[in-house]
Amino acid sequence: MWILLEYGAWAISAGILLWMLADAARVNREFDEDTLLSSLEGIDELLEHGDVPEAKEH
Amino acid sequence: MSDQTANGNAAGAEGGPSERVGLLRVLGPVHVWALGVGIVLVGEFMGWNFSVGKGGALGALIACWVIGLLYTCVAMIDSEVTSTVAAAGGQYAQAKHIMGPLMAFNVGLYLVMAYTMLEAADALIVGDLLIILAEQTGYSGLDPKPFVILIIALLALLNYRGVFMTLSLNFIITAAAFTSIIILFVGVQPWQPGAILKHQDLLTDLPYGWIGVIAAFQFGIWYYLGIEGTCQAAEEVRSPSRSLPLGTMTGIMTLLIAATLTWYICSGLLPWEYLGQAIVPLYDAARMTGSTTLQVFLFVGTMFAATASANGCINDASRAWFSMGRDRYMPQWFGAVHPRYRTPYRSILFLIPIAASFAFTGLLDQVITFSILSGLLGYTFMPINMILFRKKWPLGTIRRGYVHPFHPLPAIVLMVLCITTFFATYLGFGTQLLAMMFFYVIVSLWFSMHRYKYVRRADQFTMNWPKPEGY
Repeated sequence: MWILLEYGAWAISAGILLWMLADAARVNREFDEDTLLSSLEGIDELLEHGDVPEAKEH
Repeated sequence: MSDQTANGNAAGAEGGPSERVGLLRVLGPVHVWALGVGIVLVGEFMGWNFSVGKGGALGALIACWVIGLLYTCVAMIDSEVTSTVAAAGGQYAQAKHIMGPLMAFNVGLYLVMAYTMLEAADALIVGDLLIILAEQTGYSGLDPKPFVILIIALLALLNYRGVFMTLSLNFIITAAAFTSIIILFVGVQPWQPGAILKHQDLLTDLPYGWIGVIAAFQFGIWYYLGIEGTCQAAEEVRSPSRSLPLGTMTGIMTLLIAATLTWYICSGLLPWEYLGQAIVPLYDAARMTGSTTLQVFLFVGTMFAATASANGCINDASRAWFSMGRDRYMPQWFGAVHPRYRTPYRSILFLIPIAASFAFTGLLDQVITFSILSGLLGYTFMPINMILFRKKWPLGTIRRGYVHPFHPLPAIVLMVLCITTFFATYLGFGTQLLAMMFFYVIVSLWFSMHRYKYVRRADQFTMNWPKPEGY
């Protein structure tokens, strides 16, 4: 049984990795690079709007 | 996965850069807790006990609490800075804004190396556990490699498909692993000293004196290594200023309790000479009780803890690598976000073969040592970063979601404990420590002389802060 599990693990791993590679290739093809790289570093919108009281030093 | 596509600003095929694709803000404090504690909890199930081999059982308890103090300082400092620098990349983004590009590049690499190697070590542990299970069912000679690659592939897929499901699963399996420690603690009847727990017979004086206690510090790190990873979720939590301090501080409290319970159970059931070199000490402690139920709970708990740790490490390493790509500290190609799943998919994919190649070496002790050293270098940066942060932007000049008390005491304590732990590491792993330092010197030269010219020098500073004091 363990030998079958070993082969099964290889097969499932290969399947998962191939699916991710195929999906990444599809995304790279369907979306332009500027869109994929358009992420901006996050800013806490709550702090930005000032609706969180500032913490005080203890 | 509906939450992954719900945000209306997902770009379509014809979308330009005006339709931005960013990471999703879907996480809460529970996910932050699951990320931090999930990465660390495996250290309660194995690894920490090598501190017993260096300092004896009582020396290991001292190491547990002293290193607990080190990580409490880490959690306090991280909570304040990250509640203000709410960006993926965690300490990398902090260093970029507060100290400068070269420090940020090094901190980013510390993070990627520490988490990728820890992920490899976790996968190795899953493989070792399956070998034990196969032997107990009468099959010897199990090849762990297919299972090591399977766990890495499955968790990478989960991370690829979205952060909400990834960290929700981490919460469930981390809570289950923590519960297994509580169940074992109740199972050994701590209210009846001497019935099952034999502390009076097993506890000895310090076998190697106080130098042994110092040497134990390097393995005391196993109890808590990775709690600082909560910062990597900064760009994906709904309210970083609230969620990150809450998740991080409850996380370190959970770990301090889990570490102390673990030491108490194991030191009361196993002699220090055995405990100091055991592979799975909590599981061995469960076996000593003679209860099959407890053995099963602890086996499952160990498996869950290793899986949760690998899962959190993939999340954190990919965020750090992604952030460096976005700022062009690494090729910008890595700064892409999946338009449907809203994850840093190229970074996740890129780090799979690196983690797998570390895991395939089979050298668990070497891999985890390099992970610890990278983590320790990161902690050494934190006190300097904190002091500069308060000096450049004193209280009142920028809004902070959390202000840690007693500044600069936590920064000073953290620096002293880091130096002591470096000395302890040098005693046991001097060659590896020097090799690691040499590696970071070489890559720093590469960054300064070659890579820095590609960095977006102005665009990378995204925080809406006033000019620092003195500039």
